[in-house]
Amino acid sequence: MKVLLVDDSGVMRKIIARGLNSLWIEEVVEAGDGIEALEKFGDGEGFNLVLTDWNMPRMNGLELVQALRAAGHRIPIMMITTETEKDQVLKAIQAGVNDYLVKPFDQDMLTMKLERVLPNPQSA
Amino acid sequence: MLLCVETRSIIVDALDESIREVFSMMVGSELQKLPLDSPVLRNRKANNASREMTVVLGLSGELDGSLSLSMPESAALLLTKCMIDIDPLEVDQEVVDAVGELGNMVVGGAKRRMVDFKLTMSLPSVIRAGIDQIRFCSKTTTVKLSYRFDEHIITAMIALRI
Repeated sequence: MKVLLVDDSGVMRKIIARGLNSLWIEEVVEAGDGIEALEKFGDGEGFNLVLTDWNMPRMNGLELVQALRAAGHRIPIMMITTETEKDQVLKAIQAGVNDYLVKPFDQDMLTMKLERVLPNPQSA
Repeated sequence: MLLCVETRSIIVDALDESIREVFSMMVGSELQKLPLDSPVLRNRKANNASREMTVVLGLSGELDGSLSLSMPESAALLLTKCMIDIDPLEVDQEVVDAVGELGNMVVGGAKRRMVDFKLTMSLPSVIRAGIDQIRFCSKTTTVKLSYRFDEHIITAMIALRI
């Protein structure tokens, strides 16, 4: 299982990557903004999930989601954000986000959300 | 102009709940709120020689201003260690990142608890200055809350343009 993790905060990337690696995710590819994420994603080969922050410089998470969906990628996308207002959530869903993880979160919350979008293949 | 009592109370509760939640979940620390007349705060002002850092985020919507979170650099080093399990010796990009992200989550959490104000927030800016060194160029009213984090004092401040 391979995840593209997009956040402009290196600290948040470390926290989330550590959380993912303790679960059933074998590889985490990190990007600091939407533009770097698109470069690393390429044609999406081998990726199983995109986890992205919303507020980032250059290209934000919403723009990244729109770009991935516009290019026809159907990969599950989870937004990790502090933005939870109804109109923001609606915007994200309309853009093609599959699920939401609200910051701050703990390992249990990360595990629960991950199970929903990318279940552990060994427990299937 | 002062904030009306009800608005002030909503802001204080939202900020208090948010900062406690963020420190509990992301830093693994239960903050202890300090009363405004705490001798600890008076001593800090009298001996304010330690270097401090502040993360500032702009707020706009039905309230217009900023929210900042200030702490001594030693507190920033400690919270970085708690968050990512490395032991920074000095303020580097990771420490700046941790402080910025913490501010982002505190403001995001407060915003979530004040939905009626339809707030939007900026990206965080981290500066090398303490709460007592911040001066606003426009007329503002401020609300400050201080907490004990380990042996350090962390102060959150909402400054609203009037």
